[in-house]
Amino acid sequence: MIVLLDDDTVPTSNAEVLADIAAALETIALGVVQWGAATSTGLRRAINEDVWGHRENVFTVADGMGGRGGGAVAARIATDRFLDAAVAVPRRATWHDIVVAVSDEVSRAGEAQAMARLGTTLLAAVVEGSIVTLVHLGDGRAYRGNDPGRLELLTQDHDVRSELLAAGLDAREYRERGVALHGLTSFIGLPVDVLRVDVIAVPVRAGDRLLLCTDGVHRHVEEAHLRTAMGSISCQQAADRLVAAADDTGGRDNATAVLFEIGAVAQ
Amino acid sequence: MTEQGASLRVAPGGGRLTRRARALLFVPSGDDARLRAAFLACPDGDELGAVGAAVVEAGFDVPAFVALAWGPQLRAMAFGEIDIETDQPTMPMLSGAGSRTWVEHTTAQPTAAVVEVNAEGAGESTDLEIGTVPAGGFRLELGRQGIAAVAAAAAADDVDDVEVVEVVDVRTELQAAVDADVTLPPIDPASLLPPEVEVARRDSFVEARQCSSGHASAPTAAACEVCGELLPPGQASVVSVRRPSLGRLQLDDGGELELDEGLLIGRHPERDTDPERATLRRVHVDGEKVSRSHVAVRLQGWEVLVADCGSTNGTFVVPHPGTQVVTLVPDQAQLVEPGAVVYFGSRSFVVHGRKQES
Repeated sequence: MIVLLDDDTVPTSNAEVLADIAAALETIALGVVQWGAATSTGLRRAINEDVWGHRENVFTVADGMGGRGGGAVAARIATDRFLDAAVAVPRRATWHDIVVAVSDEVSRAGEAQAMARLGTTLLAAVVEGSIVTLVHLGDGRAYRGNDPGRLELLTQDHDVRSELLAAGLDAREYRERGVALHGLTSFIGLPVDVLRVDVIAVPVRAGDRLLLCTDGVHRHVEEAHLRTAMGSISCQQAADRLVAAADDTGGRDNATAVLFEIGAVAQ
Repeated sequence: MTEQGASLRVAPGGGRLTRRARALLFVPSGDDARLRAAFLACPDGDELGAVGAAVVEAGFDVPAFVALAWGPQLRAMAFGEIDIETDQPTMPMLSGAGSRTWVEHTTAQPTAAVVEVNAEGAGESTDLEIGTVPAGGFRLELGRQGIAAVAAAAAADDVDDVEVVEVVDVRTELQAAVDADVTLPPIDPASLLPPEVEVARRDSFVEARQCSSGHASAPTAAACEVCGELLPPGQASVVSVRRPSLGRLQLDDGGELELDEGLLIGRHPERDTDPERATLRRVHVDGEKVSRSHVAVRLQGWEVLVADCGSTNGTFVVPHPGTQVVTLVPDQAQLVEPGAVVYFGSRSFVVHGRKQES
């Protein structure tokens, strides 16, 4: 028997329709086509407590806190443990649970070495085709840009200033009351009940670049440098220049930049 | 620590001079309250950074001032019509005039230094250690002894730093180091709010750059997102404003939702009790496969994020026309841009950006 297909036989479930479209588009695969990373102790500090990481499709930057080496320990532990969990196949936990486990580990390491208040910021980017998932705690920043000079901030700093701003409160008033506006409201090393993890999936297209950087870069480097980093020079050159630019402003802080470009890759 | 080698002489006048252990702030005229508060509230060594941040936050609407900090280095900062004179060959004079922002200079490890601002008539050396006095100017003499002592202490700190990395289990030293660290402790923003303050989410502020017509755009925008006017680069032009609408969502039945606050969309969103979604405006959308709370739309800075609320039939996004469909992971935010289409149950909406004025 011949069944004539008319409008009624078109599948009505969006999920099915979308799966079909997805299958048709499977032929184009996006991935990382080039990347670069750079870090500097700066001119005023003796130790670099920033750590960057890269394994397979995962990039990270971390800025450790906890004084004279403790911060570097925290940033290193967090980076390694996060990368371990992030590249495990199959991934066994949600990003939130992975971060909680990493945070526990950093706290325990601190206790074991009698280093209380050990902590680190963590910003990770996981590249999966046309989606880059950002996992973010602290005041590291992720920017997206491309060659024509588009530049977009993708993350919100977890500091008092941003929280006040988002809540519509006047930060100046709080500063006058002695509140430290740069105080972090979330970072690795906090107990789970106050830990806030932002997980954001960002759609990307071929030619997009993502920059992950610590506050030593985004607090000190002119926006024009960020724009330049998004095109025309290689990711490694761009990362080197951003960190050099941070040092040129006085090198008050450790500075770290990781940059990668998305493009078509062979499947 | 007493700064034996620092002698401060104050000239009479109508301004204000505020002193801390190793830093001073001088405001020759005008209201210095905001600068003084920032100068006094920060940890030792951060004074200039704190003053700079206060200037930016005030949109550079502060009186002329000079700020100095000394230790292993001498740092000077001038804003507005005011000059600093020193005996340092690398910094004979520093003038705030002629710059839209402040001017800063650091001299490395001076063995001794004299810094003057309108110092004519400066009197005897004052014993002011911390506090504010009326002043028309000052003369600060940093003696060889004082600076050498500070520099030696700093050098000793550096040696500690290096050793501690290698000997991480020297507990007492580390604990002392941790205690001395300037890293700020975490603060729960909720604890900052007086209990009676209801935070109005509609009044969220964002950092923005404004064009000459007063439209607000993201601080990273090169051109006005509304009228296309080119915007001046640099942090100086960044202001805090009430967040404008980021665009609108157009539903498949023609209905429109303004993106001026977070939204919770579903068949019965009013029944939602999740505290994480408590601040979202409830939007009722009918549809067979639409869950009671189906999709949450949040505004973060200048970005629009959507998240599936653990719905029965899921939420799907086509980020750009012609791109792959993305299945949202429940409770995980996905950034969407103008042109994105979001499918939920048997319904959908298109994301529209801010309108260009014609």
